[in-house]
Amino acid sequence: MPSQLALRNITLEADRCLTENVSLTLHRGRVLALVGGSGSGKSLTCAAALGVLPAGVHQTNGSLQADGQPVSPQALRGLNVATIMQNPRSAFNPLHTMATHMRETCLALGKPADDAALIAALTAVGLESPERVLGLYSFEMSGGMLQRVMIALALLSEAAFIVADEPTTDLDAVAQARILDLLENIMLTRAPGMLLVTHDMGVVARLADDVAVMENGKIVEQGSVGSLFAAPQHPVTRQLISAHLALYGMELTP
Amino acid sequence: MNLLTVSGVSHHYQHHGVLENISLAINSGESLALLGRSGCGKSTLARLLVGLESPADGEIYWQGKTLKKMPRLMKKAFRRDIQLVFQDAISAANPRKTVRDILAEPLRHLLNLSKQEQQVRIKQLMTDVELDLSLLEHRPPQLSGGQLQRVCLARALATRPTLLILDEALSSLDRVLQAGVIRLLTKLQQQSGIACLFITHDLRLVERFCQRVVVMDNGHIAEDIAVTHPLRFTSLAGQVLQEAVLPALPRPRPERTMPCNV
Repeated sequence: MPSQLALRNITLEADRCLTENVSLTLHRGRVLALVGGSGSGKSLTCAAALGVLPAGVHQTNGSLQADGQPVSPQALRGLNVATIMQNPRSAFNPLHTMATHMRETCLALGKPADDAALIAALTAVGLESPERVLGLYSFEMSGGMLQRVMIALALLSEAAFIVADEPTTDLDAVAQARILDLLENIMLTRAPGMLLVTHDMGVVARLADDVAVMENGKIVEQGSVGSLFAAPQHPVTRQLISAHLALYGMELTP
Repeated sequence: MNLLTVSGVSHHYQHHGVLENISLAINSGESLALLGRSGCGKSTLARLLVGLESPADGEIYWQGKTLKKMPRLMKKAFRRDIQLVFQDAISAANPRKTVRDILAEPLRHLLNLSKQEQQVRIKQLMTDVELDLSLLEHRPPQLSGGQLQRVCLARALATRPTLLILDEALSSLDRVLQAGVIRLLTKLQQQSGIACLFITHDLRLVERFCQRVVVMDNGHIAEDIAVTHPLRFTSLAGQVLQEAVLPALPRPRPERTMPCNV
């Protein structure tokens, strides 16, 4: 298992340049938050790391490196890198039960797919009455429950790295807090390296160790979460932090 | 002064009860938050308040008249006076119309303005919500989610309502835009005394902008209290939402592993 996964100088183009020389390094046991406004290139950067770029987007420069060795994203995806997606509602097939989804993942990974293994995975993400959940379809479940199953699927691979693209954005405040507790717990017990894409600086404050700020396809600032909140340098970072603090009636000290 | 009064309202879809015995008064000029988790009945109550649906039981009164039996002219005044901004901007705007047409619609139907006055008002509304005038000829699919939500907000403000209902209408905006909309609403409140009903599950917005908060849980009103700093909820539903508030600043946490040196 690699202990470090790095994106090096990723440049993506379609009819125009979408990201330019993006470099990020994930370390096992640490959460790197990627923040920025909508359209800044956060999700495309994730897609490049996973080798799932949308049609028409080409990578014209850069590479993915595991412990310093170049690797293809396809070789890592699903085995060393697991994904938690934004919208659990559309990520599940409405024609299949949760058990079918989980068995599919187990078979792809060559892992036991008996009910006991599935129930253990659901219990690990804090789902109550897992036996019942196995028989449910996505439309019979709340967003928070679905997101827990998605995390259970990501954990089945025991991947060293997790890409979580806006994992709590569509949930209400209580469901969000519980999913963040679960992710924190996963960091403490399994210590994967996590790339957390979010636009909410509250989520960053709750979970991240390091932060990279993106604007217009470029990383404009990078640092530890403490230094970034205490002394943001770039105007975009300052704007993000001050708008966030304003929600709490606090101000950014100049 | 009392703007809207909800009296013993219950509502259900098929046989599934959504609201049960809700009573609530909204006063002019106040900022009231309706707080609750997904599925607690907040949005249904909003739909009843603006008359999109009629409650199965109970009454909603505006200026002493129940919404169920309101004369036609009074209904027009009611629609001018109470405006709603929906959560999902994309399904709330006709994709075939330009932004200019979308903003002109309430002006044509609910106010008596000349064509020229309408265009002046449209430009003012765009400026109020910090949108560029060049977007007036665009259609909804050409706008970003945040831009479209601000068009919907401008449309609701077009008739200078006395009560604006925002159903999770700020949730889809990023923080910088959210802060801008809150500044605008605060300004309008000081200038014209517009009342706002904020439907949300995010307590941070409630603490910043509202004077009173009504907590809903499972179709009931769990509590109705003044906003204090800090907020002191007595209901379990309120306390659970309060505990869920994300931290403002990163907390020192045990070092997980040392970052490796490259």
